[in-house]
Amino acid sequence: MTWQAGGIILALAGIGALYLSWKRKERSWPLVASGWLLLAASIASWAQTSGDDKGSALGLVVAVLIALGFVCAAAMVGPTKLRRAAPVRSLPPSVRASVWHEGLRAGFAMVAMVLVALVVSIATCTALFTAARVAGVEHTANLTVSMFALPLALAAFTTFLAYCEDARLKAACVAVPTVLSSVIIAATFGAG
Amino acid sequence: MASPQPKQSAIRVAKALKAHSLVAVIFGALIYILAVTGTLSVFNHEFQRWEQPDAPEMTRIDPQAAERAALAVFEGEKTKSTHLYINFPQEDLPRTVITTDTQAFFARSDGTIAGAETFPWTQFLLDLHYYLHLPSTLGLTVVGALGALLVALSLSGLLAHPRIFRDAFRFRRGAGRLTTIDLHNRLGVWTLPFHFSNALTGAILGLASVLALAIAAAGFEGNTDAVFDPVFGADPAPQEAGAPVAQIAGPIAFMERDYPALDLTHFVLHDPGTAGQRSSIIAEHPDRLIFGDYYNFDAAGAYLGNVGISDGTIGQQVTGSVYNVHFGNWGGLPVKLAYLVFGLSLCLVVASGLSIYFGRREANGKPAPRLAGAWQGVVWGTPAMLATALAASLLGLASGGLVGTFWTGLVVMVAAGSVVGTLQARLLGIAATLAALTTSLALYYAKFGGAAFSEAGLPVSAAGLVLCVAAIGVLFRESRHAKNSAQQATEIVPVPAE
Repeated sequence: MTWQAGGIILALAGIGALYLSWKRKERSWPLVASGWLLLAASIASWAQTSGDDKGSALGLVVAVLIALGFVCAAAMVGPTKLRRAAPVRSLPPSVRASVWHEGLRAGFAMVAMVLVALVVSIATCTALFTAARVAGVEHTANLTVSMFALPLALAAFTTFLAYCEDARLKAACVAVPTVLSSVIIAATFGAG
Repeated sequence: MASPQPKQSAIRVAKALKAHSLVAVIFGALIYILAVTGTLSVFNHEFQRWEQPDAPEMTRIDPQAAERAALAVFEGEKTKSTHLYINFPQEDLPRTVITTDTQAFFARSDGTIAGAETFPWTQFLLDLHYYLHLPSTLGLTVVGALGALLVALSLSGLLAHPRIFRDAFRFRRGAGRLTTIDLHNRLGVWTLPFHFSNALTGAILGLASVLALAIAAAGFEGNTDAVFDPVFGADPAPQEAGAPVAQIAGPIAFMERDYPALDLTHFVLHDPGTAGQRSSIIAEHPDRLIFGDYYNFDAAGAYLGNVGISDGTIGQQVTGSVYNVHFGNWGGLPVKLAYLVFGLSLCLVVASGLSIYFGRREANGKPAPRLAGAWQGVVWGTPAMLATALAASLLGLASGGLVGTFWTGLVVMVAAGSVVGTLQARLLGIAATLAALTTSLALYYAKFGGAAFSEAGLPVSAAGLVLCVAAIGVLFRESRHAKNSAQQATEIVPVPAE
């Protein structure tokens, strides 16, 4: 119970310190640092209550719940700021139609980008796995890294393809990892 | 005079916001359905229990009684099962269930069989969350890819928010679209550890099959078992010659005696009644995030050792934690309730995100009222159709019917939303949710009578009643809001585009 109570108090203090530091107009690095340190100490305290993995996770859950409590309090206590509704602009129908077509095209392009990103990510992670396998990395660690890497790679590729406006750069972002992965997979095929 | 050049940081933020919006608009509906069903799936044991409140319950079953029940089910099979399972009573599902390849039966604490286990709505819900009702590997891959896209949305959301920390507690009440933006950003930032880890683990679970196929093709002659066996252990090689069914009570008694700190969750007998049979017991480690470890036994009940998910390589231990981290079943009811809060926050983040997008379009003179209405059809149609499927399952509709009811109903709600507009779509969806939920509760009471108020029936029924009351409150508030908006609409004077 002592570790749990300590963890909760530390998390409250940590979130409170961050709240105070971000509320100020001037940035206070000591307050920011102490906020994060208190949160880290809270998680360390929770880690004592169970296994390292489960205890830390419990600490994180408690910290997030406390932070949500602070946000709820800020939402309920803060003054109501009634604002005039933003003026609504109107565009000619021809422009609106082009916007609609543009949106449809962007939508199809996005789906295509995700499919391409999925293929590139699978190829990259397979190459990562086979290369590490040849290098002698232990199988379960290698597989775990590849399993975590795949969604992260897919997320990163998708974000980049949606973010980037340079078609050449996009093409390079797809082609380079695909070619490299193909070479690595071919070179390590069946080895290990 | 040349117009001033925008700052690089402003360009970066605008591009990140564009990427964020693009992914959200195209995939938001499916991500929202996964968020809603995922939040509910955390309580799948409670729903299973609720669907059959009159099933026999116990906190523990005697090893001999478990063996009697398992043998009774196995010997009654017309086609011999390749696996025989005993699901032991758990804190959130205090029931013993004997499962074969094709059937599942409850066992009483004396080892007699009580009746078939069936939870059509919970199964429908889990299938929707795991596969979106698509064929298994395709469904898993699509759901996994959507999990990765939620990770992408988290990344692009962070990039698009340059004042992420400074604004971490900022909330402007009653400020229209700004309030919605604050709600989206504050919940998105503070629940980031949850939705990032949940999206990542969901994506790992979903994409593991397709990655294993690729790795197996590249390095294991297409054998996917060889990819996963070092993590979870290998099934024994089949030897089809007949043999007496392996020891069941012995291994269970061994685990209770030698590992009293562990919670036994499943007994698995591979290839029962054959020369190659072997059993495993899955046991939870209460102080860990892992789903459990496999403790293996030969046919005579001799202990062969554990697979190592609890104490083996770091890869085994991390992979063994992915499932529990995703589904929130690692810390009892308090953690499940925390996951409920985080899951609802994620639903709000997704729903408000697209509302902001449509609001911004409208303000920029590019309104998309049909799409905005359709989006409200998704937001409110999803819970409405889940509740409708629940009512249908209580009326006896089977799994295929539930799938048809949900998707047909959702399409109708989306189409209706696109026709009637945002406010009316919201009202329609809330009213439909309320009607379906009330009907479900009435049907449940009519079907189970007193059992509806049992320890198994009451918690979910009470939660349903609370939801009904909340829906009535939201319905009144939205009706008033709709009336006010209708009055204001007559006063709006459009401003010409610059």
